[in-house]
Amino acid sequence: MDLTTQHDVLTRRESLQRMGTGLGMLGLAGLLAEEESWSRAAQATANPLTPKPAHFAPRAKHVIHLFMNGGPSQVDTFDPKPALEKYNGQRPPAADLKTERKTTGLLKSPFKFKKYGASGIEVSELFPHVGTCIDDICVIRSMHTDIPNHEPSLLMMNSGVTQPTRPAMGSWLLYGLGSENQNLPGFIVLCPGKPVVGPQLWSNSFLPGVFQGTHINHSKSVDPKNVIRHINNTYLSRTSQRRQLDLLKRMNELHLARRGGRDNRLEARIQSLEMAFRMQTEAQQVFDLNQETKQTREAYGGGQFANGCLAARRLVESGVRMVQVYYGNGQPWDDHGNIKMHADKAKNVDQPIAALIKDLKQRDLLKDTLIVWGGEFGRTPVAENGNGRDHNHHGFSMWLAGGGVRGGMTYGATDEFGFAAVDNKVHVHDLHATILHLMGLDHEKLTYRYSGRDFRLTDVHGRVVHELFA
Amino acid sequence: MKSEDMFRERLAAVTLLLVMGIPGFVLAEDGAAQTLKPEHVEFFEKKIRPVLLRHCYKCHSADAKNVKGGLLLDARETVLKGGDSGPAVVPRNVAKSLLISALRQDGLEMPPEGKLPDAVIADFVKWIEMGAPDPRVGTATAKSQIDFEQAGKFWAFQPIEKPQVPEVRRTDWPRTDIDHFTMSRMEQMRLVPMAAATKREWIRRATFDLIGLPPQPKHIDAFVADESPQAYDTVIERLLKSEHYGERWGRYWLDVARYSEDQAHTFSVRKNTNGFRYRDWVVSAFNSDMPYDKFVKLQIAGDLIGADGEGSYDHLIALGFFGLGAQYYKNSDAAQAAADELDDRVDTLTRGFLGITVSCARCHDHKFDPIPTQDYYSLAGIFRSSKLNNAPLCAPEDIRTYNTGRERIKKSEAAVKKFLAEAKETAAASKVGDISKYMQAVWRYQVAAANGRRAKSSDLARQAGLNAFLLKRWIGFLDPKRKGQVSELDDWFALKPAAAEPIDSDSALPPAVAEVADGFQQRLQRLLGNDDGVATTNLVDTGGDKSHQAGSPRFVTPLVTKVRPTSGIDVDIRQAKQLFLVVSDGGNGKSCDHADWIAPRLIGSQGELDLTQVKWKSLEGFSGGRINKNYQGKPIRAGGKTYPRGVGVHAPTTIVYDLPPGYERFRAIGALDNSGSDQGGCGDQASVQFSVYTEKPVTGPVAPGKDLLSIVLGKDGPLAVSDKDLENFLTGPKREQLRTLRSEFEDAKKSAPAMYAIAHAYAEGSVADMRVFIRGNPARKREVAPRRFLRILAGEQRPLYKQGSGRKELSEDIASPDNPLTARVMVNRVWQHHFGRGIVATPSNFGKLGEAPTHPALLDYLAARFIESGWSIKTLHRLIMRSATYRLSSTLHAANAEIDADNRFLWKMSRQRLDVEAWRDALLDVSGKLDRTLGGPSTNLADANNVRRTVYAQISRHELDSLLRLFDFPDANITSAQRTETTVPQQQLFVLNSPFMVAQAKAFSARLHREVTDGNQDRIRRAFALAYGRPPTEIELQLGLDYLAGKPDPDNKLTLWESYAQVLLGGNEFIYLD
Repeated sequence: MDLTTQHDVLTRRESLQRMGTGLGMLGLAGLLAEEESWSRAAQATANPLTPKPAHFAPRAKHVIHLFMNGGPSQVDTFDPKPALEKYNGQRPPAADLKTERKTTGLLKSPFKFKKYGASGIEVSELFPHVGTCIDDICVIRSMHTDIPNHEPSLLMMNSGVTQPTRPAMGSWLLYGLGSENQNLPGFIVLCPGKPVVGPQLWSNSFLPGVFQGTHINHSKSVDPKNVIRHINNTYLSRTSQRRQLDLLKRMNELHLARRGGRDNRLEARIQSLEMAFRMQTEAQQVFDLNQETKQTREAYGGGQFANGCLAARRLVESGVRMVQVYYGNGQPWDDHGNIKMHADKAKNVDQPIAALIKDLKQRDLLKDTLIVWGGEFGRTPVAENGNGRDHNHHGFSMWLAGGGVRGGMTYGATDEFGFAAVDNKVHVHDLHATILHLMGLDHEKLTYRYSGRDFRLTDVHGRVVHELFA
Repeated sequence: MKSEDMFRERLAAVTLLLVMGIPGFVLAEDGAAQTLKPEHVEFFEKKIRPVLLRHCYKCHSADAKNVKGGLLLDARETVLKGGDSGPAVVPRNVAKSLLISALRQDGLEMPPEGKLPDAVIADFVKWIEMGAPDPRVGTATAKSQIDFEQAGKFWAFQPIEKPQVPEVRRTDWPRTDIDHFTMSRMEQMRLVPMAAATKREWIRRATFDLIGLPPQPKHIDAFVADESPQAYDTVIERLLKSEHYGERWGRYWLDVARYSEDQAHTFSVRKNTNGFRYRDWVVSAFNSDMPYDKFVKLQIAGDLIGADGEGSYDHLIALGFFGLGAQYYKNSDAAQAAADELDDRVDTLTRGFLGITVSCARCHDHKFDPIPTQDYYSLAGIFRSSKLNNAPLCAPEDIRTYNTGRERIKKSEAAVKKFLAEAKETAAASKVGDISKYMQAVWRYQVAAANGRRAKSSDLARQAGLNAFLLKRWIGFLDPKRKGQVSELDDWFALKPAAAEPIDSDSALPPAVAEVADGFQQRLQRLLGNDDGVATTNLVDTGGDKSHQAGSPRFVTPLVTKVRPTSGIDVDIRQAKQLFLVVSDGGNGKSCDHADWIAPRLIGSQGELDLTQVKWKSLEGFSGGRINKNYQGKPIRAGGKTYPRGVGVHAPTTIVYDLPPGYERFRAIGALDNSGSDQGGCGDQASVQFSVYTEKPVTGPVAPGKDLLSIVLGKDGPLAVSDKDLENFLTGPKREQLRTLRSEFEDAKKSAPAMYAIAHAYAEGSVADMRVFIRGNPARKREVAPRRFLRILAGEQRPLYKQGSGRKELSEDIASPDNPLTARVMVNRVWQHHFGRGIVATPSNFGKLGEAPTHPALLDYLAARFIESGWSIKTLHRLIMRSATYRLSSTLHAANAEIDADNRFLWKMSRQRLDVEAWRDALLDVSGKLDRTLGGPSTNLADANNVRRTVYAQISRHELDSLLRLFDFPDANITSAQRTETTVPQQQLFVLNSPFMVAQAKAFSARLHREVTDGNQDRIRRAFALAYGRPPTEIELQLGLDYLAGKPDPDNKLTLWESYAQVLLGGNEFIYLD
């Protein structure tokens, strides 16, 4: 047994302790023996969210995916292209790529770029706060995906295919690794309203339903009483509910005793009722942003996205495996009409993102937490409707931070206009492979047998981009 | 022709053949042509082979774990043959050798770990130039060739033969043949069967098994009391006759059919509003014990088999199996989406009916089962030759009646709308001549108000002979607060009524007021009169360019809409060099914006120049332009009038002309073409705006202020009348006319028949074979895959499907007693739902990767009996449920568990958790709330008042109901053979805190108080009888009594009885079935 697995066993032990003493027979043995096997009996008896060992030593334990739904423009954010000034309004052959809609000549960025940090990476004026964190950030400038439409690309970014038939990455992570806190869902999706496509973006698909993402609509506020369905008991006082649950437990134990005193599934449900009881308080506490200091809240600033970022930090701190924070309802970054509209969105995310990175760092959580920033695709350097930009799947930027990623670097490049990725191209499949790798999972080994074959998040694709690792 | 050229040409032909998938002759010929010189061999061995070995073989050799791209580089033959993209090497032709472009990272990028040194690439170039000499002989092939003969020996492909019933040592135990099979396995495994379940346990098991509901106390009591030998059969027969049987077993099939009533995507989610008819058909097929072979055939080819009798449409409804299949988003990659849809059909068909995973062969031959890629496309071609069809479920005359009714509604509605639009316009326009009077009346009103008196607008109206309603609107329109909003009224607001002297109702007004009011009225009148060909708003008609800023418009029309479909254009163009004719979408999007530049002409001292005779310099925008035709190529028509000359475009579009010298004015009529404005929906909202520039446009064509006509006559303007009020403004015959039109519309709506029922069915489409897609990529095709059945089941010489799409032949091949899979798969599904595990534990995968049967002989016995019985599922239930095996208790046995912990060999009954349907239905039933109505449109589970059975819930692919999802209901995007079973705290939060659970607890408590008026003991006994089908034990009774004797917390919203009822409903005994 190498160190990794020992470490993981400890985590499992801890988690069992967290689950309370309960009935002895549920036991360590059963859970430990279960390991990779997913027989039906195992599914039914063991808590499928129990932490499981990674394939190899993980660099990160948690993922926070900051999803700029709608598709932010790379040439206005993290991929400066001076050539756009020079060729503004023209359409040289290299800028004559097909996207979703009709576009015209090149459109220079209305935003100025500036060098930040020791690394001197250029960031546009849209992200002055993020700029101050640039030495912790690894910008991938050579992302590309398959289709310049929101629906298929959102599905690709989340589940690795363009149709709604596969599990989301968060579901895969839960399936592969479990979650560290059994009193909270392991994969949480914060979005005010719903992104386009909606629930299929966090679907478990053919994986067991327990791996589905839990969507929390925090458009009004992060309300601890409503974030998880039925988390709040409004019928009985806590004492009365405890008394009720004691009776239920006693009746269940009598039921079990009459059946020979041993049945993993019956025991699991008894445990699960106790867990639910504890979850009522724990989950509500985690989502109670008012427990943060005034200083912290001010650092994050106000607004839905800031609340989402702060909640994300509290969640990973509590052991949640993956948190997605979507920018907002629909597809807000979809600025076809006027790219200057990016400024409003950037203003809402810039300070909270920087605060999140600094907060995690200060709590020594950044090393364990992989932050992923980006949309479902980028935007064209050529104009649509005069001052807007169309969808662009040929090339776009995303960035990673924390979780074993090398900060202060850029990777890959687009062409001189920022249209198509040309150097060290990174497909979404490659990104997925890389994220799984950082989490200690081999994307070719994380498989689930379904419909007569083994499925993977990366299907038959994916290259781990080792160059990004610290 | 030189010999080398001939060689190349031959090679090209060969390549073509290879790409088309016709292997063979060239290779031999080419191989023979090769003469190897020793120095060439040396070059290959030194420079080429090591590189191939080190960098390529991992993915491109016969020994590769996964051969990538179908390319093998470990033999000369396969190098020349190439992979999916074509030949890797064309000897002496570097340009055509894909290997080189891949090494140069030019398109393909190989090897994936990084570009090789230039020197190495140069060696490969040299090697190809010398003819790619290659001493490696042999025909290395990837290891995916299927040996059908060998594969056919696999148990699942063997014919079904009814086996001998095995002898057993323990002869006193078996009740039926089934028990001989199970006992025989137990004896082999040294297992002993458990005792029989108690009668109470058995009837609870049987009742949930067959109808998905708990047994009623009266049925339990009768069964316990019935000591006759037929006691068990009586219960089985009663349950099989229950109409709730179909609800339970139909739902199992709906999992397989991935039944849902919508689609997963978000943009225009398509609801299959009649989807429930398929669900109801399935339920009733089970209730009527429809022979399973017929059940299969109808779902695949009901339309081709035809109706059972006149007026029966079930054969169409049955096609919902495919008709409700996935439809994907086709906006960008339609070919891929269509291919994915075919995959849904093939996958659901083969896993559902045959228990094999043909879908694996979409990209390459199945790695484990004998399914070549061609077989996949043979089946896919059948569906490609069919199409979705919303089939009417009524006689043709009913459709006609319905259509006539709809037509009448549409016509009468259009007539009302048209009348209103015209009448309003007329009504408003007819009052333009009163504008000055209205304004003067407003003056009187405002002066009075400024002097602290309140004038009544109705009085003022009467005195001036004006309409009181409109005067009110004018008062609002000219309110001082609105100053500055309409620049044409600046003069008016400059008059300042607040500072004016008080006036009497009949005294004259200051002349300036009348002058301004008259001026405004005349302005409107001029605008109204200028619809056709005369200037309206000339921004810079200044002669020369005194105030003209380069790049700003010279002329802008008002918005041109359906109501005012033309606007005259007359522009001063002296000194200009170019003319930019811009038509914009009018600011509200570009729907239906078909625009015309009618009779565009230049006018100068030397005469007119017709611009339709001049070629423009450029045209850019939404559309091309058409001379003397509208955007759609039809005659130009605007406002119902046809115009012979003009340029038809679609906004937004800009046309640029170079101006010849000597012209002073440009004139035209800007028009909204009828081809756009007559379209339903967007046509009514269509608006365009024409502007003329003489330099490249810099500023947008925004009119100075809003279009005055719209402001005054538009729907919010002071002269506008609402639809509702219009009638009051109409007089005499007009008023009568509107009333008649409206009552005709109302009558049409009332008398029209409701929409007839439809089925989401399938129909024959354009019939054609598909070609194999290379690696599943629809853009790259290989050989034709004729429509026919699977080779492993029907043999190499299987017939081609010739009747239309082939669905009928396919259905017959599947629902055939000779098909080794169909009957086995179905009896195994039924077995699984009785015992919690199938004889084959992977019910939709009988292939190599599925689990082997635990009782192969029993499976065949059941399948054979199933076919003998005429594919009767109810007979199968009887067969199973009469057995001693089915009667076993679920008790634990330590020694048995040592040998077979999973109970694969059926020494006991496996304890099962109720699925979400049975659990929810049981909660409703026990609490006395269940509505047992059958069938009909689906209901919403999120509605707390929904007390229908769960099978009638809306099933969404887009967003599955949260309760269903929480309790392991399958994702309806894909066929499902068995439910996963998870136990997570979120489920228990539902049990503890959900309004649904609390509602059932309250109802259960109320029922108990209703049925047992006195005494907690009796009430507890009744509660146990209803919830668990047994009396409570002494301890349980005491626990209950103690709990109920507790001190209630006044803040609680539940009584002690209600919270006790919740405990009983939330218990393990309620959700687990022994």
